[in-house]
Amino acid sequence: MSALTTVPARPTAIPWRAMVGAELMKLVKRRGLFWATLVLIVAPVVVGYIVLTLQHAVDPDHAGPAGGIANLQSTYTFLAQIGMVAAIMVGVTAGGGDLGAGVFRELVVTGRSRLALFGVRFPGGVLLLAPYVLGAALLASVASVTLPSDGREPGAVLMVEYAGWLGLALLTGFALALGVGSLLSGRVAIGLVLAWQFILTPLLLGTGKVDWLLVAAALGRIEPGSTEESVSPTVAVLTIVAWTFIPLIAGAWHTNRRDA
Amino acid sequence: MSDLAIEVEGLTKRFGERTALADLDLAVPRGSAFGFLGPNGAGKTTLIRLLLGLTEANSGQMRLLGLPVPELRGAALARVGAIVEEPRFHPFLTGRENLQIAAAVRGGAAEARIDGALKRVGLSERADDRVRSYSLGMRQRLGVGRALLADPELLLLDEPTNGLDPAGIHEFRDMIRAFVGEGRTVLLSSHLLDEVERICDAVAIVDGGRVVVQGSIEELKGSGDRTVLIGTPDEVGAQAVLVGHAAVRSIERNGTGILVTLASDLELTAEEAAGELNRRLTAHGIVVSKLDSQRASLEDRFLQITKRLGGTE
Repeated sequence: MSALTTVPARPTAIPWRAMVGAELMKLVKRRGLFWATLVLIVAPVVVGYIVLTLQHAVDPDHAGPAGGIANLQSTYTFLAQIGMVAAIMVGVTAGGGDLGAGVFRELVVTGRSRLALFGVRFPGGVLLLAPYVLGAALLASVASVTLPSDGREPGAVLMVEYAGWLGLALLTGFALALGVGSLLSGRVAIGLVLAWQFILTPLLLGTGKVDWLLVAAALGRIEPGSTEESVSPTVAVLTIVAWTFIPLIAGAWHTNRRDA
Repeated sequence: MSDLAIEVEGLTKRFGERTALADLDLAVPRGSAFGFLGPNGAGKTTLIRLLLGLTEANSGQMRLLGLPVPELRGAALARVGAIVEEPRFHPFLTGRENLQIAAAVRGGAAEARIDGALKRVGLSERADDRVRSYSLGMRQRLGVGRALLADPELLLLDEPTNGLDPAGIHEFRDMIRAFVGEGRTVLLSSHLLDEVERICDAVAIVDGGRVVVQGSIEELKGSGDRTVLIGTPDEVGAQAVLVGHAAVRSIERNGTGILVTLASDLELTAEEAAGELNRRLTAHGIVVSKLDSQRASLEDRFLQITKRLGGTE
């Protein structure tokens, strides 16, 4: 490249596909995040079923077989908790990674709108998380039907419902973390969201008075096979929608207004 | 098409109580290397940040490549490359990957320019190393490479030689002149006066948030005080002879001789004036051992201007 071309200055259409790909690359190339996500979403399934199998082999009178619906359900409940840590890490990194490295400024000077720069963070993070969630769901589903069970094995519909529910649960955590990560610096954001998720939410759930406000209660209500009725299905859906979109809107608003 | 790459009128930017830019006007012609000089805190970086839309002005008008910004910022910046302060990268990515990210955001043909840009800034060999392992000078060069992805008509470079060794500065100087030779416009913000004098065709000096002087390097230097340094064993006698001469504005002894500052409205050249002073001294029997007419360097002019305005340098 040497000679200056004479094409007049004009904006190019937003290259969404390339921008999302770049966003995904930034997340994938963070080795720590890559391995932590693997350990927190996929590894628990493998370790869980190995432990269940060993327990049954050692003490069959007290530990049932590893397969079947009951263990699938407990595996997903556990995954929704521990996988949430990974979703929060990915969300905060996607929300604040460019800012933390000082690269946001370098992207703004391209003339691309701040909203577009924010807009690709969500699909970029989802694309990172999706293979892990699908991998975990696949492993759990296969284990639940191939390992010995008490005779109650999940059907395909239930397997898909559980995979979807896990994806939704992690999506809410990711969206919250993405929004907060776009508002605050990385460490503060991750501390705040983890504290909310794992300290304040259980305390508030314990009071039983504000379940309608809590995404954990909403997810519990729509979990496959749930008997939880502290909130109605409609309220649960609205709560999940609110917890997904409000942080994203706040993050977009702040990103659009901030100095770079 | 406007002949100006950058047009700024009445630009004001305040940070709380502090006014960083006060009613600033600036015109940068296309196809030139333009120096933007000023002491630290004068407002150089603030202007570049405003032009690039990194922060908002309180008032004023700006045009880049003939397009009003921030109104048509996307279109204007599509052909602008920039380095603002120290260029920043994701350290865990390679140089090439960092450029891929910028190219993805720019879109268009930017992706296809990556190899050429890396080659041009001399980083082809290290392109696949992580930026974490780069020296500051390499990061500066990678920053220029990233700016080239736009095939820029206009390059805004804020203190781009920071961290470069002498050889790197020399290469950089050649690179900027080459950019200008290709028809690009370069705005070089710097406090390194010698560098600006060597690289740029024209300059603006900013101080206290205002452009206090603007013009070609030659005009600027020519508008400064002209002096004649006279060496003589009888400095007191020489001073007495020259005081009151129509060509003389002031005289001071500076340790190496007497420094005569010529009157600003003098129609003679400095050399002609030096000859006239020499004749006057010898007519009074004063031996002249040295006679040196001097023109102000850019640095002299910069110091004169900013000191006159109470600058910090």
